[in-house]
Amino acid sequence: MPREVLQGTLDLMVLRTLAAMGPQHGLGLAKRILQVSEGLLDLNQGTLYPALLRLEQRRWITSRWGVSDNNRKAKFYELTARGRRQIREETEELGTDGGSNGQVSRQAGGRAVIWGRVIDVFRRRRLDTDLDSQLAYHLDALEAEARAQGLSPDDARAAARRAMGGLTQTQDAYRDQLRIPIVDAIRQDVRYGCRVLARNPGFSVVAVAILAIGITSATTIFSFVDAVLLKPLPYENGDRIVRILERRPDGATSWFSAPAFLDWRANNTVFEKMAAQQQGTRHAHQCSGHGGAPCRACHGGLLQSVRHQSGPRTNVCRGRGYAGQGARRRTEPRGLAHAVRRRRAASWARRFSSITSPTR
Amino acid sequence: MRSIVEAPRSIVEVPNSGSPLAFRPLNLNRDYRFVNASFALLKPGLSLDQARAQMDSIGKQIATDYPDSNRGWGIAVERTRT
Repeated sequence: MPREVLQGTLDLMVLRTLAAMGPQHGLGLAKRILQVSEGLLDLNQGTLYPALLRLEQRRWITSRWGVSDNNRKAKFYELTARGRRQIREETEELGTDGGSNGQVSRQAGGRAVIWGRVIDVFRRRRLDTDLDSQLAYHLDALEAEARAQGLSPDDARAAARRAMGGLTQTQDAYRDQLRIPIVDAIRQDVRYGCRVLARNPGFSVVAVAILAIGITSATTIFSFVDAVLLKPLPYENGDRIVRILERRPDGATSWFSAPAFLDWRANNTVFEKMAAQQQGTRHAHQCSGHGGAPCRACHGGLLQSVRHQSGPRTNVCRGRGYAGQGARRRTEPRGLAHAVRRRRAASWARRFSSITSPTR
Repeated sequence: MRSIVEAPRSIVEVPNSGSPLAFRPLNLNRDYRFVNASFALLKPGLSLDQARAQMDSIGKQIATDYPDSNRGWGIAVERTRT
């Protein structure tokens, strides 16, 4: 009998047996199933336990520890409402299918299996010892039975083992049932990778160094591109600040004359403020922020002059704004802090000017 | 053609104290293209294209009014960052 069919059949048989008999421990189930199949099914009784775990993970059955007829601790399995529904569905399916091999459908409860396994990960150790004590109980019972039939202790033990099937296989199947395939595969891969790296330290160092250099350069390049091209200027409404130049007859942009600038500023209605600066000087610019009067406060460079008109939107990110400057001058000593601010403002102006090279 | 663009930069150096004049009368000359940076803040809700359209017409008007210095010249409005 192919193994898969056996598994599906066994699942269904267990469910039906539980439905017929009520709560039952592994040994009782095994006996009943063998009895019902009338020897047609050569069941290794150990295979029952992985099946029980599988059904429990699908939440078709539940288990609890109880006391058996001979006053020993045993784990009792019981059908859940979900399990009952499953039996009904399986039966209907068999009816319409014209009676195929009676496999418990795999999709049904597939998600429940995963969840069941995830939960079981946290009680893996306890489930392990549970299995051991269940197997021990089962084995002892079979042995006692064989002895009662008149076998010698050794023969009885051997017979019990035969009936159970390979204990190691049972344990393996049971533990497989407790694994989450992807997680375990990844864990094994990681472990294997670490081992290989540890074996070739030279290679590992080179590999890590190459990765580090790659990541570093990628990050650096991105930071640069982000700062230069992507991020808006560090001003409120930085996305609204535009650069205006003259366009030469040949299409290239060009520096421009003072009267042109004054015309632009006087005639446009699209800009809130407009300012100009000659590179290399701090004062040769005019802002519309002062009603056309020359501005002598824009030490911080041009953008600042665009921004510094009094009003709510005058936050200056570098240096000082026009409104705040007089007050600060009066209240602050001309100390180091002042010098630093001036210096910073000047460097901002330089940086800023460098963006607006006439060749662009 | 002599490149006006490369005119020396330090001609307009305004005294740091007192009341500086940004554009001296001497420099109010349409041939003398010495200003190398102009920035403006768009009014809220206006698009770059709208600004360009208006600056284009202003540029055309300037070119008409001062053909000697501005024939064929226009105005370029660009984003500071893309």
